[in-house]
Amino acid sequence: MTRTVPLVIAFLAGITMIIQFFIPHQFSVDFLAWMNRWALIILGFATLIGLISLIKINWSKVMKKSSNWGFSIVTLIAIFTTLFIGFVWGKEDGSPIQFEYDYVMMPMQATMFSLLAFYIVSASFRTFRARTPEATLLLAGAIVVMFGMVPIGKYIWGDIPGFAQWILDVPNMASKRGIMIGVALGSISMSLKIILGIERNWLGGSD
Amino acid sequence: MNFWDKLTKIDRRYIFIVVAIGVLMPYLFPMNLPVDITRKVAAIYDYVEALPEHAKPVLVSLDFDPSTAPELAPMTTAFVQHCFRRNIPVVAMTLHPQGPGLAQGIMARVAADMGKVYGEDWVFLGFKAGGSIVIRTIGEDIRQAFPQDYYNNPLDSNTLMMSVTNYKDFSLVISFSGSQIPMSWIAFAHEQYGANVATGLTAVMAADFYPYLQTGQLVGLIAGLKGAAEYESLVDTRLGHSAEVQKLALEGDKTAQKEAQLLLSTRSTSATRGMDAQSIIHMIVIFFIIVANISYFFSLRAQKQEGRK
Amino acid sequence: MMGIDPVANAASQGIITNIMVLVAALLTLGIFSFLYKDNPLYKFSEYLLVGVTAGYALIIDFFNSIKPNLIEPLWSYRVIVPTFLGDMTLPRFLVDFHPIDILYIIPGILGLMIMLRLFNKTSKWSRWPIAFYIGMFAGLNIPASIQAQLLEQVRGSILAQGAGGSSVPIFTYQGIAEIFTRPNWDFILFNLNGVLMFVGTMCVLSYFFFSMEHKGWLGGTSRIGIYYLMLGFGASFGYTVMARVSILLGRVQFMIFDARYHFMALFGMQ
Repeated sequence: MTRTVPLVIAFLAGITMIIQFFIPHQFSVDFLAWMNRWALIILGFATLIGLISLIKINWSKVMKKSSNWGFSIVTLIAIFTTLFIGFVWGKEDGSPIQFEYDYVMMPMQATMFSLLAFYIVSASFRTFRARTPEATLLLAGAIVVMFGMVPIGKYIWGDIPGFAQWILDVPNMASKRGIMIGVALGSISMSLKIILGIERNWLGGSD
Repeated sequence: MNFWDKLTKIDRRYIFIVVAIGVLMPYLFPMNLPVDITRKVAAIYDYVEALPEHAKPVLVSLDFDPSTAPELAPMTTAFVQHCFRRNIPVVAMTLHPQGPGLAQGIMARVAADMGKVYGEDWVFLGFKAGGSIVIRTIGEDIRQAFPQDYYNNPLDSNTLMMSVTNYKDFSLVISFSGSQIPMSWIAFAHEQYGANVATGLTAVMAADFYPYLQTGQLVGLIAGLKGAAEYESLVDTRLGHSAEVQKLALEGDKTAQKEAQLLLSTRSTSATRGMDAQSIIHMIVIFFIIVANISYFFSLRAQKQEGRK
Repeated sequence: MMGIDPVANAASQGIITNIMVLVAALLTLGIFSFLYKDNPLYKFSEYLLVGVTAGYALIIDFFNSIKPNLIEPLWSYRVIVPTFLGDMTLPRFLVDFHPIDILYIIPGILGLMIMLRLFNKTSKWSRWPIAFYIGMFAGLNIPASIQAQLLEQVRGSILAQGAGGSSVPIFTYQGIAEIFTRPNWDFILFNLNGVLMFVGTMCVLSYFFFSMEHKGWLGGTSRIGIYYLMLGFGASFGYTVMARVSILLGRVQFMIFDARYHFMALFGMQ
């Protein structure tokens, strides 16, 4: 029941989606909309699992007084405050949760990403070495493209924007196309294996 | 440890300070370097320019959140300004759950600046969950995906939407995104329904989309802050205006001085301004890479010489 | 736009907004403080971000996915039922079941089944909703990948877009021959590009073919493929530097302009 039925469900869901792609009838579009609704509902509940796991982990850290347990309290307060203001006042424009998003979550999220700018420069200095011909080629490509992408590059060598564009249009395009075709073949075969029940690792467990 | 070894083991906080100075310097000493226009950006600009005035609307999908807005908001603004300048209506939407507020803000601001009327010149449909499934649903009937607009008005209450059913009623579909969603636009809107698709992407994603450009699956591609700066200079939104105001401000005109200050602050969000800092940082990265490799080769040589001794 | 003072503009947005912008600025500085070293302010900001993000994700999923697709349809068909506690409003399917209700109840049950993953003894029952989700998107992926990423890309390796939407071969024998008869630099590049693109794509694909050992001719082509890949990754690195710096610029612009004006507005400075 817990291994066979999921395989049948995966098969039916996959096959109907493939067939649906080729049927232009209104019924087919309505069917797609229904499948989408079901997937969104399941996804919504899956998010709840993630949240509950996060609460469990932080709660146990607080109970056991593990390292940084004081900050786990911050996380728990943040979770419950966000849920409270979200469920009570909704998520429309001007609501408290929108304020929280605009002035707490978004600035911190963007700043986390922006730290990468510093680390990418630091990593370039400390690890980017032309040890092999391949690494040298990578380095050369990166330097030419970085020069070519900024206005100042043209003042250093007039042809560099054209050369950088050639690297992007020809070798970069060819390599990305090769990767794309390989990934497409891989994802198609993996999807088929899942639908046909050959690939069963997603079931997990032994029973 | 010789000098070159010490150099490669320098505390990274010194590198961070150099980066910080490099980022802040253009705000103190603007360089205003002109931006080269590339074919992939010009292709989108030329496409819109070639559309007749009052052509079929353009579908603009703002599939990004505020964390990628520094790159994508300027290009979106410039593109929508271009459409409005040519009197081409815009239907906006978003497939990103954190996108509606940002998308509505951009559209409302640009429309107000250019005197465009909601419902006639532009409509904002809001957010719909489902990604690729929404893209496919629009191909059949946009009303199934969006029965109402963002402000909960029935779609047909907007004059603009009365003549729009699916992709056949759009001149162009453009997705501004920091994720893989443009691939779904290409796979479904273009391949299945024959829509002309263009995209604006963050620089991280841009290199991966060149194959779509070469096959013609994409009309054009605006990549990162550089692409946004290119489109801005094509649309010529800021440069001419600010030069004129700054001249008056230098002559002592108080009103012009205040407007110059505003333009300076609003121009701060333009991509063109950001390219000055990009130039400096790129030069810093290249300099560090070259210095690091020089020190690497000197270290290697020193090790070989010690080995021989 | 004429005559608008940015500080006055910030002040007009209200004291709450002024304070919240300063809170955002403080949190931004807290995260940036990590560049010096790990410290309690950074840790506070980091743990706060985790909590807020997790809570916000659930709110968004509830209002965008569960409420419009499950709760509202079931609640829209509601009936008033007299009970010993008085009149109660209940979803219709609890009182008067219609076949259409199955379309809403089944995903609700599947959603609840996925919650069983939290308990070891019942986690195997969560495979049903996972199977639906995985099967559905596997099926959605196949035609899309075949069309957009396989067929079109193979076509693009052989044919390029010509004028007026026509297709032209990416290189021709005549074009290659003319390189020698008409040695014009632009012309040479134009004709060679097609050859380089085709050869590059084939060599990169040969690199990813692991069913045979990379020796002999396959070793040679895969080596060329590696060179193409390195140039591609170098280009990606260049773009990545630009992307990361762009996000940093966004934060710097926020601190220099928005935060400064709101600070000045809050404390009545000009």
